[in-house]
Amino acid sequence: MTQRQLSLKPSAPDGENKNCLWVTMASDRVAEVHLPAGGSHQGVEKSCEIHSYMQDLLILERYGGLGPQAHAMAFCQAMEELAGIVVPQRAEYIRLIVSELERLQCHLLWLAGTAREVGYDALNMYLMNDRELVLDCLAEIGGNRVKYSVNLPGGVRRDLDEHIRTRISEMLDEVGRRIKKRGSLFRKELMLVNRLRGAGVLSRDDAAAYGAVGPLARGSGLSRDVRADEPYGAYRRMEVAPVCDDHGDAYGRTVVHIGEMEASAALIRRALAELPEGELRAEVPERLPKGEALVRVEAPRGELVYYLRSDGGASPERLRVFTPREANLYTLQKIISGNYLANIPLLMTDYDFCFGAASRAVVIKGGEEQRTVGWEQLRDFSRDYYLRHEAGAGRAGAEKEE
Amino acid sequence: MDQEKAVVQIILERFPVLEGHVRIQREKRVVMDYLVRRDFEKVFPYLTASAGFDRLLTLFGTDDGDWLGLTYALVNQDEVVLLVRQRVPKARPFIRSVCGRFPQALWQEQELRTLLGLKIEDLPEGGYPLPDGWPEESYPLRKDWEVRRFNKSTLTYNQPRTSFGGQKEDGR
Repeated sequence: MTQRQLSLKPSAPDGENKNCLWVTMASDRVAEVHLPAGGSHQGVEKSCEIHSYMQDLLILERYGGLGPQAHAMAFCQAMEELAGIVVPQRAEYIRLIVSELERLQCHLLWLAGTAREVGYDALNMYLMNDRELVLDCLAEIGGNRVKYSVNLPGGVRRDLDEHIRTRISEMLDEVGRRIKKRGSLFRKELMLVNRLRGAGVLSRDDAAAYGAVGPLARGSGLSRDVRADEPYGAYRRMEVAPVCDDHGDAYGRTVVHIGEMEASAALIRRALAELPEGELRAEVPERLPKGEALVRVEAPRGELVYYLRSDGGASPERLRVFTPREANLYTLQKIISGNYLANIPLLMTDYDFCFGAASRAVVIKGGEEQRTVGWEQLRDFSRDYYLRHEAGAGRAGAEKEE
Repeated sequence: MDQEKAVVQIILERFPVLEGHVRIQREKRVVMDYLVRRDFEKVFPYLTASAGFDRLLTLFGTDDGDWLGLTYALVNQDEVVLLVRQRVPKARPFIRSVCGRFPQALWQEQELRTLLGLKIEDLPEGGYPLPDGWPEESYPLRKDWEVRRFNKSTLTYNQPRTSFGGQKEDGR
């Protein structure tokens, strides 16, 4: 059988798109996948070693496009552990509320991406519109829609006054109602369910063996959630139950995302109701004592690990950041192998893979003939493929009934 | 702290020589001192195959003067994180890959090779994450690698001049 090699190669200069993908095709199935990661490595760890801790906080908030709260909180927690500081309870609750709002907006974006990739553009637009409501709330809390910069070492820099708390509650009522509606569509609409079922199957054992984290692991029934496994901050007083599903495919992961959004809304409501009075921040010395700390937090995409080592100086001696996306790279490679080419856009979204600007695909036949295919074309191919597939299945079903 | 004490006990029962080199850092954290490669290659397989530490959370390297250190964060069923370490001399930075046991460590080990200059046996070739044309023997995560000496447009690194007395130009 003739094999073709396909390169899906993004080159956007931000941290979101630092991976590209080489797939070798056998007919319309992927025979082999290679992920030569590192297209736009940012050198963040080195950069943090030459800047002060406060400057590092700003750098790390910009590590990824969608998880500034998770990164900032993990870094602050590592600093607080090294300095032996107890964070005020009010600050811990505010961190939880912002973290869960962040999860809400990330999951809405994920769901919108999934809707787009399977050809439901209208649903994509509705979900993006829902997400705007959450972003408006985050902007009101932190003054910015994307980089809300709520954290400071020792606590938070923003309080939640009565007005903002009411705004969040009203937003949750509205978004909660919409999530219920969209969730029922994803769970019951047959065309959506059929498209998602069986796509990108990952068994529970494989998820465990490959070190999968986040909704990707929980969609395969692997109960792995730092908020439950090693609760931190206000989560210690919340008892988070991981949302899992046993389908182990794109459908299972969709169900997990929807369930987690409902759980996040419930957590925020509870935190708002229990928000204690008190200080927002404890004092942190400018220079941390000598030592090391390894911190785990549950970012929207999964487990985020920070390791910080201090030699008593003004900058970290060593900082290691390990993101859920890096943790799931190997799993992605395994999920794509053996799948249809037409499923790749869906699986990329499933993995939360951002191609971003300048994405392109180069088809190489026999290493000589070359043809360039854009990402949009690949997406169109995917949609057409499944429309034909479904039309064929429909015809076959009708013939059978006759 | 029962889970953490149990971890220390399991390790010391099998390797009594590590007495005083394994300690509980805090709840859910157990830390081990640096091991030399020979000892590490006995301890690591035991921990991952027989002591229940079957998940690799992350791994990373450090530049510790004349040594390069490696830390492996392992997790067990009780979610206790154990930091296992080995270190090798910078002059002979040879270690063995753990990809055979944890295939997902591939990118992290490639990063150790390109950013820190470790020579990793049994690791597939790959230049992650540095671009093609990166100067040889130039390892950005080493402490003596300075950003200001690197020219991004020509991808060249200007080594500090060394005088006859072995001192670098900035007096260090």
